Amino acid sequence: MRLPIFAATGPLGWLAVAMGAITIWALPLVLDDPFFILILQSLAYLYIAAIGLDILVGWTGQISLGHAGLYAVGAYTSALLATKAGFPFWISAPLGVAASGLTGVALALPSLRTKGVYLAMVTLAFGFMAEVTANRWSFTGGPMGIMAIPGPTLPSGAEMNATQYFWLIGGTALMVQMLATNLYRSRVGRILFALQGSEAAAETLGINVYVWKVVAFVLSSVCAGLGGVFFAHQNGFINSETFVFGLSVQMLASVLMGGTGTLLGPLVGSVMLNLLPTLFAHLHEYHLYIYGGIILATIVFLPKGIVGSLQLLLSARHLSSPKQIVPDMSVLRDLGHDTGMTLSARGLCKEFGGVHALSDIDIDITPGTVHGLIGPNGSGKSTFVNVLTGIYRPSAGTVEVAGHRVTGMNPHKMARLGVTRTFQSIRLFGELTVLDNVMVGFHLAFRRGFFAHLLQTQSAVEEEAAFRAKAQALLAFVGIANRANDLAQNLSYGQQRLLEIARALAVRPKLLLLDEPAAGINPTELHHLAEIIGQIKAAGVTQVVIEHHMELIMGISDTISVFDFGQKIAEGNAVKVQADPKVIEAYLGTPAELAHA
Amino acid sequence: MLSRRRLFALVAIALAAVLASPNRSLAAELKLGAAFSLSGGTEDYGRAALMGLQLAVKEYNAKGGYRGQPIQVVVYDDETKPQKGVENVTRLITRDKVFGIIGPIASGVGLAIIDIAQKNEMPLIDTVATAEPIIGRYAAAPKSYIFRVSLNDGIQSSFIVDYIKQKGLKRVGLMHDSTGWGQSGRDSAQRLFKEAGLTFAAGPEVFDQNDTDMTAQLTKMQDAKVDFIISYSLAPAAVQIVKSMQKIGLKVPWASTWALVAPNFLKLGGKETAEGAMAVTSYTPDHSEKAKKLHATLNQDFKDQGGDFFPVATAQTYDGVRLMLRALDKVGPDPKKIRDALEEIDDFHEAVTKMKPKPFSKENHEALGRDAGFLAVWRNGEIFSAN
Amino acid sequence: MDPVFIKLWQAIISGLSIGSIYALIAQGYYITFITTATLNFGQGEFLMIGALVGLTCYVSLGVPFPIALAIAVVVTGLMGIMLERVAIRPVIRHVLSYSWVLSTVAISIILKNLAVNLWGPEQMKFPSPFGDQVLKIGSAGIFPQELFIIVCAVGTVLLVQLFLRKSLLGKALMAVANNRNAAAVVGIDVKRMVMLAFMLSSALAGLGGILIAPVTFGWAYMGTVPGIKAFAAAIIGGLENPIGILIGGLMIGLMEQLFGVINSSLKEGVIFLFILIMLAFRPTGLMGRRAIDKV
Repeated sequence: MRLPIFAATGPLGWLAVAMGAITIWALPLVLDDPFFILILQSLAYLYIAAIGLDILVGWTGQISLGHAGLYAVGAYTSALLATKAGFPFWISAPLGVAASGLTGVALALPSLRTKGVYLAMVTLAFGFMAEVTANRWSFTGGPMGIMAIPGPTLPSGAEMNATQYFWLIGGTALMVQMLATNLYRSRVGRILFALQGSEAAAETLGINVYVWKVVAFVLSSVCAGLGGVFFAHQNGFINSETFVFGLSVQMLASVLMGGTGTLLGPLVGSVMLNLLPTLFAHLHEYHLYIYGGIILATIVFLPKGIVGSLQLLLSARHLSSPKQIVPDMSVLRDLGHDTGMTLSARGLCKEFGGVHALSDIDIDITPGTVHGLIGPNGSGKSTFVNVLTGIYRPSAGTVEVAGHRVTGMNPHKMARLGVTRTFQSIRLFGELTVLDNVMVGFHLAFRRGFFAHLLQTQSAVEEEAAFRAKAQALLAFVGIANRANDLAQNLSYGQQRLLEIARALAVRPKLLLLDEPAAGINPTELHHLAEIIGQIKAAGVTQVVIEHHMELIMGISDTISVFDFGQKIAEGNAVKVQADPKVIEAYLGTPAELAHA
Repeated sequence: MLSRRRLFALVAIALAAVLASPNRSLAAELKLGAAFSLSGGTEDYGRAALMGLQLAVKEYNAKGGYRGQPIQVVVYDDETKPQKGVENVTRLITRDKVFGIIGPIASGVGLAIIDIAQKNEMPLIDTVATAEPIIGRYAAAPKSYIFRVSLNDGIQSSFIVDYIKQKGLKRVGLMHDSTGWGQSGRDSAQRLFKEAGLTFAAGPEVFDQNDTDMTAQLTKMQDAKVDFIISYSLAPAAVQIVKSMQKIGLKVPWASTWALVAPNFLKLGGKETAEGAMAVTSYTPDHSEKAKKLHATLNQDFKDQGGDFFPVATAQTYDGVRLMLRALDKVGPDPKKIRDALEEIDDFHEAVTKMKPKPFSKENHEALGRDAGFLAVWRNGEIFSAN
Repeated sequence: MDPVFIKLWQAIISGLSIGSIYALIAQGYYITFITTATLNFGQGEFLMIGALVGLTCYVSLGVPFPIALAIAVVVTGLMGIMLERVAIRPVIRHVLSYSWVLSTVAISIILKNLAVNLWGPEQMKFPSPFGDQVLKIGSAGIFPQELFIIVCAVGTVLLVQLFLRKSLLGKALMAVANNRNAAAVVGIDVKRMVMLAFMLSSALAGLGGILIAPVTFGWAYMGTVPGIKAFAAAIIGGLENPIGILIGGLMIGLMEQLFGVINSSLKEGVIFLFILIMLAFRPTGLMGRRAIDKV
């Protein structure tokens, strides 16, 4: 989970950095033993790789069982450039990292269309391919490996000794951690966590999900490659026997055991998993029991990992004391648009296999109105909304928004045009706080990009604060401002629905589609919802509301369309629709059937 | 905020506490280090070597040890992983402060650890791993710290090539497994063939050491009408090769390096499978009186570990360790002096392998050379000389 | 006969044998995946346990082969129940939906260590109950055990499918796979069905182990590679398509051998390259159904 209170900012953050730097500097001097320094080096570069892997696994919720392969790419590239081409470390190392990054792109592009177990297989297959290639391709030296890999040289010309090399790796690790922390706290972290929560929802907020998944994958590849580079130059020798499946497992285990999606998880996990085997080295009969047992025990009993579980314990106390933010109510004024946002659908059809979910739908949405959509279950209402917002491609027909053809456009492009929605089954970003959920909605409005947030430039920080205030205002508008710092998944059902609305409003939509916003809420909340819809309408936003709750729909809608079996059977104002015999038949059955009921 | 700082501090403290474990060795203790593979792919070699080491040390201590002080042995398992091997050797040198190291078992590990030993001026005697570069890398150095008591790949291959030349075999096939040892073997075979002006009729074909079906590779050899096959394969793969040959009806003599005198070749394949297979060896348990005596002692003293189940590995280690101890006797527990002393030993008459009384010299760190081995053949479950 | 054809035919025969083992193990992945959306990444180790338990019974204790086979299958089936209890059930509700990957991997690590401690780290011979006489199918040679493997493995796969589709218990299991809650509502004991699924899945792996041990040797480390390749088979076929998985397993076995004929050093890598390329174009497997997410 991503609780900002655990991402230290300001003076405390810098204190942590300083402590880290001092620890790195002092450890080899205090321990003064080549064996331990060797272990520390290994720990440091595996930690770098773990940070990257956590970005992929913990933040974005993807899986990789083949990161040893990316590690190998970095290692071999740098080693080969250093030995065969004579490049110094300071040139071969960045090139090695770049190679890993590029491999990550190449791997991510085709494979991120797969999900879940299939993605696991893709990464697994890649890992094995890398292992086999390293073994069989004579260029990499196979099991005989590459020898005489030089270490980095100092300006004086001498090669770094073990202690200095550790300082280099440790220092780099600290920097990578700082950059990762910056990303974590910024909108980049939010976006990636949002992907874990609901890719569909993220798309409707304007996030190009595919691109960001690739970004996460590349970030993790770069870190893995960096780890591999440091590994390659550690002992002057590498061979293919290191880059086996077991290493990928170890990397993944250290992330999970430390606690996915936490800032210190990778550190704790790496330390544990790499230090423990060394401690138990003399028990060579049993050391695998211990290794496997520790992994199993942590996964079962500490599902959030060590750091995650600690956070869970500590957060219970801290949650009720958020930093006070002054809401910026101007955001509500911003919602208003000069109307002109017409939406029309012509001849819209959607088929799933043999099922005609939509048949020949024609609809015009008048700007600035509330357009209700009712019909029995399975009549195609949600399908219609999905087609409008770009989640499904229609089998036939067209959709036009403000005169533009948008048929089949991606949800995130639709969001850019000002079309967004809420979902029938609530799709919040459970691992983010309530406030952060809304902040994700501001995605398209943010000006500062990836690198500004990576480095936490002044303008990025300011922009963040500004949107934070706006988000708080939106929460106040829907009435859940007091829950701003809670995790979204901890809200009540009704509050979650309100949060979805607040989040959708952050997109500054010109057209907002609400899919059964009243499902499962109590009468007080219902009244509140009607008020909110009215206020949104007053701000000039066009709304399409799917609902089963007749009182609500009849009360708020200017026009109502009635669907049945994928067709529009009636349209008009509340009175007209209620009296329409086709509508009555759709809901209650024919008079003949009624007579027999 | 607090939690992060506390965690950092906790971690730092924990690290320090854990690493400063009470493992400091007393300077007065005499320790011999062993960097073996006791798990992973090559355990039998490792366990057999361990036996030879333990017996040699036991006998040495029984005779009074070093000036009345027994020596201790520190053994670390590298799991056939080069990285672990590096850690283990570093640990032996810097924490355990041994006076010498025996090992490695696996060539892949060996190539990684010799740099550490050489850089830290620690004498290392390799009694199993056969890759040529293990000695070759530092052969030209003014003071090389790496020694070997084992027939390296080049020498082993040369016995096979000699046999081929002697019998006038014209169509030879080459196959090897994908490990470092297999690839090194292929390299040495190709080099020797080139020097002899011969070419291979088929191959080099590769297989994974755990493959169970080599018919694909062997049918190619069959097509090329080979009359002899050289294979760099450990015992399990070797058995599968024979079975695959049976499947496709290919019946030619074939040879491998010492992997085929490993006992599990007979155990896994049975007499019929082993029949006619040839292997290079430096040692059979009955080739000399001393060998017979060692064999009997091992079978008795180490009965619960399986006795003398892999004579070659045990014998070579037994000799290697005793060489190290002989040097220790001469100059004391100073690694640098031991290195020099090893080169000077010229009265080691108690070898069980075929090494000479002067096994090493400044130019030569391979105790077993061209005259220390021979090609043997399996007949009816026993090994005989192939000529 | 044309030498190329001879080579190919031999490769095909050899490939079918090992391929049917992959198919057998992969069926196990299918069963647990459809019921729990998880699979046992240590399935290979269950194959190993089946093989080694069978070896102990048949070779060391002299138990007749059919009984040894039955014991091996029962033991691994019971271990499957243990696996579900220890590594699957506790983690199935985790937020991070991949905890089961690591928990099952952890079990496999422990099992490997156990096997090394019980049986030692070396390969062990498992004489085939059918003897070692090479049989000829056309020009290709095959051991009787390999023929038995093909018949037994493919037969078992079909039997399992029959069980799942026609028997009451099997249908109950499929009901849980289709819709857990609905199955519970009609009175099916979901927990028990899940246990059954894992028992069946592991028993299949154990069967595969004892079938293949005479060909490969019994060995504590024998399970890793078949487990991964069977996973590849399941992916190719599409994890929810049992016949696709059968074909996938046979395909991998065939591809291995056929590529070995072309170039032996590439054959390992080629399979995984094939999978990568295939998944780029068909993310749910070659024969998997296109999943439509209801939003």
